[in-house]
Amino acid sequence: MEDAQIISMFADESSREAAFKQLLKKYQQKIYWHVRRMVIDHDDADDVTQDIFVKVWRNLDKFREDSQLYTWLYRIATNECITFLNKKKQKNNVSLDDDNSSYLSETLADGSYFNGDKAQMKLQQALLTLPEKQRLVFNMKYFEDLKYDEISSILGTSVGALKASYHLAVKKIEHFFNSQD
Amino acid sequence: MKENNTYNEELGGKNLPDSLRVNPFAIPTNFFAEQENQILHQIMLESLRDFNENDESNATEAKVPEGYFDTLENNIFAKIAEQDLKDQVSEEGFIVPDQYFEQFGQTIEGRLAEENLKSFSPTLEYQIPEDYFAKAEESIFAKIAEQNLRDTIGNDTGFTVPTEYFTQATAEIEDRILIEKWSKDLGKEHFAVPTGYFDQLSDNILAKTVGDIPEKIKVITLPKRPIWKKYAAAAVAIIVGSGAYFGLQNSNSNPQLQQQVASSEVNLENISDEEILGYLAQVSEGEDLIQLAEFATDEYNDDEKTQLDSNIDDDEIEDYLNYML
Repeated sequence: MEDAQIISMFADESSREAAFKQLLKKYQQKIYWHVRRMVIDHDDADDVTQDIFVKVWRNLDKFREDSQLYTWLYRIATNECITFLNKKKQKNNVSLDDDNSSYLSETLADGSYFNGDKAQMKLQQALLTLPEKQRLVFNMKYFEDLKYDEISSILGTSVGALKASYHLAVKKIEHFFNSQD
Repeated sequence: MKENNTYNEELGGKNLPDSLRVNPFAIPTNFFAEQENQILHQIMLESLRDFNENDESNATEAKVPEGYFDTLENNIFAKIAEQDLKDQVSEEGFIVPDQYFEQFGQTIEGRLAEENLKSFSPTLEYQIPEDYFAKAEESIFAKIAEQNLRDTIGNDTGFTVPTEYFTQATAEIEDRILIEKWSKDLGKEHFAVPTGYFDQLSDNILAKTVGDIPEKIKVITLPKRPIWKKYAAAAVAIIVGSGAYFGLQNSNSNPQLQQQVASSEVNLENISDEEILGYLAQVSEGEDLIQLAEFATDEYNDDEKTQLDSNIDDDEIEDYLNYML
């Protein structure tokens, strides 16, 4: 179903539930994986994803359609991820200026539901060395194949800055691989 | 003058000195060639005469073509005129390129070699695409138009690029090459989820959203006990209190009765609605009882707020309650 149709149906109380189900069907997995790549742990990703869609349910009627629906969803998801990770930092007594890499690396190493081989684990470890926003940019470009324009709408960052950030991320990952060999 | 003494010169075979070997006599040009022809003609004529004289059967006169003598004069004059013309115009006037005749031999040899080659390999002719000549004209005109355009506009497209674009583009391309390699070697998705997770996730989300619709209703917290119970409590309290009082008067002399009265504080919380109604049925009038009975049939949960119809205005509900109270 087209996004415009979903929004239109959601505006009508009689079809709101059906519209929301369609929205879930269309975006649930995408949002989950977007979250999972950031928070690593499946249970955490589950919680955050549910929170996201509850927020969507509460606020979709206020959506002004000044951006694409999926951009708006991703924006909510991204903010929820960052909020969750900040809470984790507070819980682990980590400064907000520092990253969660050690915590997340431990989660990655200890957690289940990871079926990658050694090289793939290395890539995930390399990603965890990146600052959160840079990791976000890399995930959206590499795993989700989003365009720079789309990422710019989601993060509110200029395309030029995103390109520079992505380039730096790639270089850091390459350096990580080389240093580990 | 001293006579040239030739006696000391070597004498040749003809006993003449070389100085005397000069022929003093002159002859016409081509004299000997013409003389030779005349002599041969003379001999031929004599042979012919002798043949005719010896054989009387063949003794006939020499024959000439018919009309020969009639045209002889014209032929002779034409010959003379031709010779005069040749004497005047020694050249034809045609010219040939320099070295023409010198190269002519090579040209002929080349043609002969070509002919020989063709005899060995007749399919040496170059081949061209189908309809080549039909399209060639169009191609040529298109080329001319293109060149005219270049001459007018030049090679500048007018397009521009952002500052530092090519530097950034190089970096992007390098990144993409790395990414392609990683995608190929490492794949993309490495995280897994429990079996059936996404189906369960939908249900969980729907339960938290669609399944928990807070309808817009007016919620007014009513007292813990219905209003009528207040009346009943008051009525019972008065009745019991009166009885207790009178009982107290009568029991002043009876300590046991005093204790009973003192402990007879009515705890209406522990009395069921039916019991209260039954009591009031004995002491109340009919109309009050009917009204109280209607309330008594409502199921009531201390923990719940009574939900009213959302269409009723708040003021109306308050008025009703005030009225009832």
